[in-house]
Amino acid sequence: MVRYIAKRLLLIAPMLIGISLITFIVMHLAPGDPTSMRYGLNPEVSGSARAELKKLYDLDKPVHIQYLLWAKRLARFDFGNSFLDDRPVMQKIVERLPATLLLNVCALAVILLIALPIGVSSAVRHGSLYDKVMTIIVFIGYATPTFWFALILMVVFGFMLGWFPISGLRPWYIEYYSSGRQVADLLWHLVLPVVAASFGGLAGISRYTKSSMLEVLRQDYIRTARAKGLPERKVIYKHALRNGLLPIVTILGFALPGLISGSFIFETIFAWPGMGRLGYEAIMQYDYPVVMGVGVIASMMTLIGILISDILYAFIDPRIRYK
Amino acid sequence: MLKEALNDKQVVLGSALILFMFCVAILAPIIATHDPCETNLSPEVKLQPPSREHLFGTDDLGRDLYSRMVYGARISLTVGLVAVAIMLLIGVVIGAIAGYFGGVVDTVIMRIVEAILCFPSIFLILMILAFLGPSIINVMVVIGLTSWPGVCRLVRAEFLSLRERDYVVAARALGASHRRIIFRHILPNALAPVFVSATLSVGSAILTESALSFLGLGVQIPTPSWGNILTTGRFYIESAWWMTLIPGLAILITVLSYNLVGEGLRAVLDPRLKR
Amino acid sequence: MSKTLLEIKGLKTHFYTSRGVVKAVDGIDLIVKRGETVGLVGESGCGKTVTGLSIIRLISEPGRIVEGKVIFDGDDLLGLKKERMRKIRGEGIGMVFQEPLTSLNPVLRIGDQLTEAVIVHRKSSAIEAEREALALLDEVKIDSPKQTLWAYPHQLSGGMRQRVGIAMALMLKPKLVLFDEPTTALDVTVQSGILQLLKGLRQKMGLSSLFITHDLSVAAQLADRIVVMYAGKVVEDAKAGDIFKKPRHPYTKGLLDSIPKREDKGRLRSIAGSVPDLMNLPKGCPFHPRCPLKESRCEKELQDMRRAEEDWRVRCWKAA
Repeated sequence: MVRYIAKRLLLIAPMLIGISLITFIVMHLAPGDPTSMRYGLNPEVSGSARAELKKLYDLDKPVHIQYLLWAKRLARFDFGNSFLDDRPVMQKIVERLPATLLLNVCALAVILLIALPIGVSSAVRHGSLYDKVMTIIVFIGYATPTFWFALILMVVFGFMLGWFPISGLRPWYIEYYSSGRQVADLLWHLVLPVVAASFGGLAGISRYTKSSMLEVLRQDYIRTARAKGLPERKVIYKHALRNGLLPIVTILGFALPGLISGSFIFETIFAWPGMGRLGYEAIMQYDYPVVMGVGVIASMMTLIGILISDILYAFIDPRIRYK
Repeated sequence: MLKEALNDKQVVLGSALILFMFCVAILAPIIATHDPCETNLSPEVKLQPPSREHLFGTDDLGRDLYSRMVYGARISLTVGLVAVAIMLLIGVVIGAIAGYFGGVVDTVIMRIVEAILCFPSIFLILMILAFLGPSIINVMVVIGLTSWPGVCRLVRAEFLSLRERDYVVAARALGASHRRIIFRHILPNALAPVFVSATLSVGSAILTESALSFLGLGVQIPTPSWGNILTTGRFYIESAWWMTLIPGLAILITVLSYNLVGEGLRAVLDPRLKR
Repeated sequence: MSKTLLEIKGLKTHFYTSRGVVKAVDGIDLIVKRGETVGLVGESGCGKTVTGLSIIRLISEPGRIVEGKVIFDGDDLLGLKKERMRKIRGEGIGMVFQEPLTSLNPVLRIGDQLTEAVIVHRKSSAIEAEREALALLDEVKIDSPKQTLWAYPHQLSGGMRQRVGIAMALMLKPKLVLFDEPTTALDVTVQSGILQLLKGLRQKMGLSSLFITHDLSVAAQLADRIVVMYAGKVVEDAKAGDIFKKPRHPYTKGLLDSIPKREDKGRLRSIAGSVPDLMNLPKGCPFHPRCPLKESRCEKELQDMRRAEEDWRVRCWKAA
């Protein structure tokens, strides 16, 4: 298993290089050099921003030197200072990270809590009315624009019913609450964003769980378990479930980019003080150092997610654990 | 296979809906009842609910929502198709190269693909658009540029298995060029799964366009797209529900149709799923 | 107590696929007496495995047992309630499967997989069940039973896994064991080891079993009686000694001839043609397109099973 994990860790290195390359290319995408783009028509920003960008990314140096300097910056998480308030980019991101993590971890938990049972029960009752209804719901969920769904949630549960707050995480009045009430208030604010953020992943994960379980239920060892006269409950929850859930662990890492993508949308809709909204606002205000910083950090979060799911997999699959 | 696909209710329903949407888009000038960009700010006209005069109501600038939706279909459907065409072009070529040549080429390509997959796609697109500036063309190109890794992996996997087939080995032994083997011998056999994945990708490209418009970096007003109609509607969501509901449903139904066709075809191709 | 342990009467198991109905088992009769080993023989695709699975009612969609009786120890299994049937599986009838690689659950320890049936059926304690498992692993000649209990399937060799599979089927001391090609997936040397083991077990435990195989030479080593199947039907049923001496059905003869013999000097003979498409069986006797003895009658109607001699039945117009 040590070898397996070491191999996984080694694979991270080329992916990090890939991330640095992609961000570097993005930086250079504009015709001419990145300092000349978009500002051309806007004399107010152009002069100073051009000089700042040039200095920040060493754009007067040859390309390979530029890249090496960029890679060096990445290694130290030094993305320079924001154009807007001149504070270090990394500091701004770190401030916003907890809110984003909170939202996504909760969303992931909700996805798993709902999607796994749906997937498993649809596979077990393959072809039943329940399975058909679930398939249709999943199909519709797959095709729903998630931001539209979030808006509907907001209108129905925020405005019309008034059950949940529709924006922010910690309102100004929270300081006056007891700590227990603070937690309750926090959870209360979490409801709508988390429901919206988990919606997109539900369809995918439940479908994946279903097909994985169906595949497992076809296996020979399931027939062996039945031939032993085990009750169906045991066949499914002991023999099939463990095998069926194994592949889910590996795709969780890859589900992260989708979740974080959602963050950019939902944090904007629900005025959530997270990294996604920071990145979005930076884009709208052409605050390039922050844009690049958020891009790199968001992709590295995925990398960490993949690594965690790989290691988790090694622990729960005996074929890797005892190799 | 075509015959089986035409027997599949799912595929037929989805195709019929797609066909309908395309008819609407093509016939837009004929079936639209108003000029989609004609504004009228008088309070009796703007933000009116659906009526006989305005089938889907009017928006904040008094424009006829039905006509905007009809013209918006052109944009949304085009974005879906063009973005996927670009995605296919890049994904198939790179995937074919990786799968056919294998070895170092394959390793390098796959690491790049994995690195791209690490990026939250929306933010990657937003980053690029922030540098390039938003426009219909840029939106289509950037969606295509960022979504090819999926197809690339698929094509690579197909090539890896197909290149060992007897007829490919035979063609190689007869001295056929790499290009000929790739395009004449292997690619045609890998097309079916690629087609399925392309169909599903059209749906997700339409979703992505709408999300980008929603975030203000998609198709720019006054050109109507379903995404930006929805975005404007957001600000009037309490008083003018039709401005959010109708474009949202249009997107949902279109994406659903593509997914119905894609999943239906997948099931036809993979009999194990069906039994 | 009657001498008959298992009697199958007119069993039909059909598969309803989108392309048509596959009559995998189409009206077979078969008897296993107590203490007897019956070899069920035929080429792959003739319905042997489906017969085995039908006995313990593990046919899955789109297959269905259409009609017939499976009388085991006095009960018709096909009429039993699900819960009673579940008790029969494992306790009354054990089954050993073809693929030792895929028939064991890869994420559960061998010990767990061996003991769970005992714990469920007899409500034994885990310790007690483990002791029984150890004894049985010893019985199937596994060198280090204790370690094996803690191992996962991927840590064992194919032969070891099949020994575990056999032990698993024997855990509840079933009255009947169904062996479904238990040696087919193994290397030749491992194969003979398993066959030796089965012979020993048979003598020691007085096992009654139905031994499914495509290999007549394997059946010859173990079976008291041979039942030959072709295209979902039984074509010949006789005592092993008799059938090997003088096969009556041309198909049985073909199977016997295709066993490599020393005097063949490396030449392999096989039956001409191939197993017919079960969805599209030829009219009359399904074997006639491949049969060296065929006459015009064979293309029109199928002979019923008829008595050729005491304790010998065959389904052929021409068989003497």
